[in-house]
Amino acid sequence: MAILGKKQKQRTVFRVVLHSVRVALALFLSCLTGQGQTLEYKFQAVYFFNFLQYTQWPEEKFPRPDAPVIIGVLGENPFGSALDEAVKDEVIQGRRVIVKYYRRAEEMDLCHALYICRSEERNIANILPRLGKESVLTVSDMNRFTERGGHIQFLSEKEKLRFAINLTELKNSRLKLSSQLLKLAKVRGREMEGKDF
Amino acid sequence: MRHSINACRDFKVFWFVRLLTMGLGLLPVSFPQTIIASVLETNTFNEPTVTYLKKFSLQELMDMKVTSVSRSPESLSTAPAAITVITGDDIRRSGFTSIPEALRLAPGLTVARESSFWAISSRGNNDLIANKLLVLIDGRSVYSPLFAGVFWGVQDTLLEDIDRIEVIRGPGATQWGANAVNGIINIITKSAKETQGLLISGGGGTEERVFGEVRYGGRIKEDTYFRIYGKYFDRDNSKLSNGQEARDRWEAQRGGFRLDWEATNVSHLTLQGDVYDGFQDEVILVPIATPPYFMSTFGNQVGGGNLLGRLTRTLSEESEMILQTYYDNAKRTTPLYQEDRDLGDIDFQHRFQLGTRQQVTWGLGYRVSHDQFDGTLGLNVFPASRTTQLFTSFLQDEVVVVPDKFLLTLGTKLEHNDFTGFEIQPSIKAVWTPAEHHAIWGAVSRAVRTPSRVEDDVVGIPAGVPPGVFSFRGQRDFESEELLAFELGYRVQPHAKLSLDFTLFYNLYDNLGSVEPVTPSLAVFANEASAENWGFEFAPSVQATKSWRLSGGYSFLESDIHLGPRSLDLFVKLQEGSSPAQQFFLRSSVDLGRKVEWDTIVRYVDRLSSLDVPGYFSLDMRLACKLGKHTEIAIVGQSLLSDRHVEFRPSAVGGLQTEVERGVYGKITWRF
Repeated sequence: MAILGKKQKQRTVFRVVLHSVRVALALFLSCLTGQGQTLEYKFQAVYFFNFLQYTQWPEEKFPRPDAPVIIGVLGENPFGSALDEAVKDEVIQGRRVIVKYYRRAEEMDLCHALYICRSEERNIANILPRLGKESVLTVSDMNRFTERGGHIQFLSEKEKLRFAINLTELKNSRLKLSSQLLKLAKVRGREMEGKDF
Repeated sequence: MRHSINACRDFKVFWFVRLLTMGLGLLPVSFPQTIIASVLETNTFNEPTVTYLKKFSLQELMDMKVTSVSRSPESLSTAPAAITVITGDDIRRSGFTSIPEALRLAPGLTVARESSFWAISSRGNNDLIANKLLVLIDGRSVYSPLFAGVFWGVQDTLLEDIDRIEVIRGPGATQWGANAVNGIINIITKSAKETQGLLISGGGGTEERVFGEVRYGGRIKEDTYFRIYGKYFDRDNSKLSNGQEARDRWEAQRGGFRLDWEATNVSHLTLQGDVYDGFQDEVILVPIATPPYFMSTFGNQVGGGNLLGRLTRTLSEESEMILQTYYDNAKRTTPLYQEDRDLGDIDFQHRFQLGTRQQVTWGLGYRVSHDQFDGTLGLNVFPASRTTQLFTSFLQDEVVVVPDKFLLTLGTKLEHNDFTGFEIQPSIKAVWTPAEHHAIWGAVSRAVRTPSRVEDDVVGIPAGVPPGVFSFRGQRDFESEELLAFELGYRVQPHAKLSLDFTLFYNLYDNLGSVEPVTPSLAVFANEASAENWGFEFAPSVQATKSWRLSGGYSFLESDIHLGPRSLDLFVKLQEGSSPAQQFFLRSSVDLGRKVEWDTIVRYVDRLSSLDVPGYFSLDMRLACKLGKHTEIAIVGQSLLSDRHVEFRPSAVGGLQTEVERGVYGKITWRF
């Protein structure tokens, strides 16, 4: 009986060791495959979709009453299928949503919101002026995006996803964001303060 | 005698501290190992999908960690107060049909129904029209200065449009002002943008005889949204203890609108209003001079309306200005009196960041209240019409003492009212977050309950104690009731799916209102009593599986009321046992597939010793099914465990005892 007990004990120890190895291996693998990163982009995709719901475009951006909301992704797509999943079967202000992927800035056509990938960081000085006064909501997670004239920039803060908004640029682009969104954001472009109360 | 009271108080302080240390010491070790193991197992590789993340609001997402795979949608609240939030979804799933009923979902709150009147309070001093609980609907105070308290029977809106109800137990006078003594209830409706489309619902049953609601939300301009609604209900009579119908129908109709204009990127304008009227009958025994010394009468008519405008200017997450103004009218005609009250209020609040570590909020307010009183049968006030003013100001500073670890909040309210002059209501609160999923908070606050119109001015309010008639008289030197409150709380999230909330409180009341007989048939209102209330509250919540959520609450309360040496009061002592010593509830919400919701609420309320109300168990159940995209049908059973039960005693002013009956109703809802 005692021997059996010992064996059982050994088996338990073995199981625990095996389990820990499995956990460690999986953790290691998840680091290697950058699973954490895709998760962050899943979050960004859902945030992005939320931003769209809080955005008000000028009426002329929609030529027809049933014209869809077109969102573009410019550069090396980091979302995988996350953005497509986020907008699938959704309507924004009664409109369908379409996602378009552009590899280069030259390919861009009419869109309502544009996610600019990190791969385009060097190019940013050319991309933003190209959008001009087109009322395209620009979103990115690249550094100093709002300082460089972008609208919404993702920020990582204590492992949580936050975002900053450049009010001045939004106003220049004739875009309106709901104050509900501003309540959650870090706001830049404060020089506008007091003029539109 | 004095000595024994002191000894008694010391004993309680000892237990207060003792329990707290026990609670803190025991918790971290008592979480079963299995939970820790399951954290490792379930959460490591189980990455949330986009569809899953989309279920949460942006605000909820912002509280989740993106690098780890914590699925917790609720961040641990670090508010230095005993706060519970009842969401619109909670209300819908509970099957409750009125705001006061929905408050049964808040741990620690005592909710008792007597006909269409409600005794709602927290931490003791409960009464029909309890006077120490402040209630706001979208920033509009619905606390009536007549008796000091809330007429719950007329506080209503379309329940579907309620975003959330914030329930704060304990004082909040520093921010909210006088009468936020034992708690604050903040009812917040959704913006018009969130209630777009057509909603039609209706149904009926044994107690909820018939009800119907219509709401339509639309868009006027690209940034301007509106909604309008109308509703009607007719509730069945309660039963008297002898089984007879109580002739206390509760019937009302109500309509309203809300307009939200996102004027600019930072400014948001809201305009909203409601009108209502209805019947809230009750049988009252009115004292008369000849045998049998009382006659029975019934029939209460209620009505009113309000209009509110609010301009919110949100500059960023740390800076906001709110300017709000409203007008409110309330009419009430009962067999004893008739009241018509107009109230105007304007309020400004500004929150800003001072340096890197301080957040300052300050505010100013003014309120004017005018009433016209007609005492047709007994309840008379003099003067029959009175206008009172209230000036308020407050300042609060939130200081980050140690970033992410220790937050201190200091503040005070200074107000001037026409009854007692200046009142100062300071508080100091601290939150310590020693580790990520732990928050310990403490607070010391002062709050006052200002005199009611009746305590000041009543000239005859008869209590039918046949064969004599006994009446009350108010006096202008009635003072504010004062509270000094000590609170300690601990919140912990030992697992992403489990959160626990503990609160201990010790309340010291002074200048408590009492009724002092001066002749065998006349008594006056005075401040000859004091009290100590202490107790604890425990609220756990578990997301057992993806589709099964359990939440609950347990609370314990002890109340000791001490009469001053000169006092001959017969009434205030009743408050010692007007709240249950213990109560608990457990709520289970299950999703059966995507289409079916099954909710169960079990409640236990201890006996009300001084009111001779026995304890009771209650079971409520709702089963709802979605049919297609637009339709939902629900069947709800309420108070299923007994044919009928007593929850509270009618007020001293000769009401008849009624009982709450078992009820079943069906409801169908279309959303387009």
